[in-house]
Amino acid sequence: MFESVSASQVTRRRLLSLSVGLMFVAVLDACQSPQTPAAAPTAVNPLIKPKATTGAELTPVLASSELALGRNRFAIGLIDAQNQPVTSGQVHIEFFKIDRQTAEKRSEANAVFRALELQNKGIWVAPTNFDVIGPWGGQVTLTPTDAPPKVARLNFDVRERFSAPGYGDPAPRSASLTLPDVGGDASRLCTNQPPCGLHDLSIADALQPAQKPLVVAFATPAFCTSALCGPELGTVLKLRDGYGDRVNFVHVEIYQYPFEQQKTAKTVDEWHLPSEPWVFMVDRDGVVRDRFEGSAPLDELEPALKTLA
Amino acid sequence: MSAIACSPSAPPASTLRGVLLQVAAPSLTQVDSFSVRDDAGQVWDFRAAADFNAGVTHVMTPGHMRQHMALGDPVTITYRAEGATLIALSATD
Repeated sequence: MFESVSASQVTRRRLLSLSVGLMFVAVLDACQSPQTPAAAPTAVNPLIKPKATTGAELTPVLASSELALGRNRFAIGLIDAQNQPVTSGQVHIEFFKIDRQTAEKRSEANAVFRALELQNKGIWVAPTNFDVIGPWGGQVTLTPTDAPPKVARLNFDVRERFSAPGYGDPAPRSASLTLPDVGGDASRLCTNQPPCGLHDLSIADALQPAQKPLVVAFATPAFCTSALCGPELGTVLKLRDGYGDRVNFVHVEIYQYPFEQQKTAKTVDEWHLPSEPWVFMVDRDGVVRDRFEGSAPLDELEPALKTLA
Repeated sequence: MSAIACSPSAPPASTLRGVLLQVAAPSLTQVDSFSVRDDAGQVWDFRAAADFNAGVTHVMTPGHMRQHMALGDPVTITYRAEGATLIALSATD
């Protein structure tokens, strides 16, 4: 738990820590407080912010749509001053619990770059645990191979529980649609081209007692013409090729047929997904053992699945 | 979502290309607002029109906008300025 600090407890080391914390909060405040529109040659609209003079060498963006107590897959994207994604170097993240005017470092982790297949893009993922809800900050240090380190910060909230099934939660036994439900017309269940073939079992079928472990992929591959999102289902299909004899696989589209984004699928609502795509790994007892929001390449998914298969 | 009407006398639409820094999407079907940084380094804050992405052939879902944000993949925003508010009409790859 976060501990309050009295004057008698303050040591030199503590003072240094607090000073760093206060600086951290000050910078976070500076980044986040509503700013008076500054006069800038091209900023005629107050919603167009003037170009930042500092801190834009590295910009972290939070890829995780929800963070909660306990285990988390903390995912960020990093963008450089030229608006290009950062895909190499070493990334270290320090996590601070923010309490009014102080920020206390609680943990740190190295982030691994998870590259999309066939793309020189990806996200930085760090495993971490949060032990208290509320406002937190992350200090990201990028050490390029041929340049001095760059530091950037972001802040975020940690909630008590995930909305989507969390680690250790029972997987909802959804009666997701299968081929027999749509007269065998796979195009009514899947926007992949061709339809993916992971629609023989419903989630409820796959979670019957004595079944195999289950991988559930929630994705709608048709809705991204740059092919950034479609590969997620392709990654799951590769897993199926290697583990299909030991693991059940189910794909669920995000939106109801005819996939016009007007209404989300009933199963998606039952799983309370805040975003998409998602991949969940469920053990033989129907318990969620791992969860991946957004891009998760084969080299991240496969080791997790090996622990279940 | 803020209900923002597009009247017949609305100013002409413009386009902007850049990377997303933030996407506020309360659901899988709704985008409220987002921020884009253009290549000149300026950050633009948009509110989504009530009919955001209407008529777009390849619609970017809120989830896909988040994917583009995380990957630093640029998007093209069609928008209209209404007073001090930038109203996003669509977002495309």
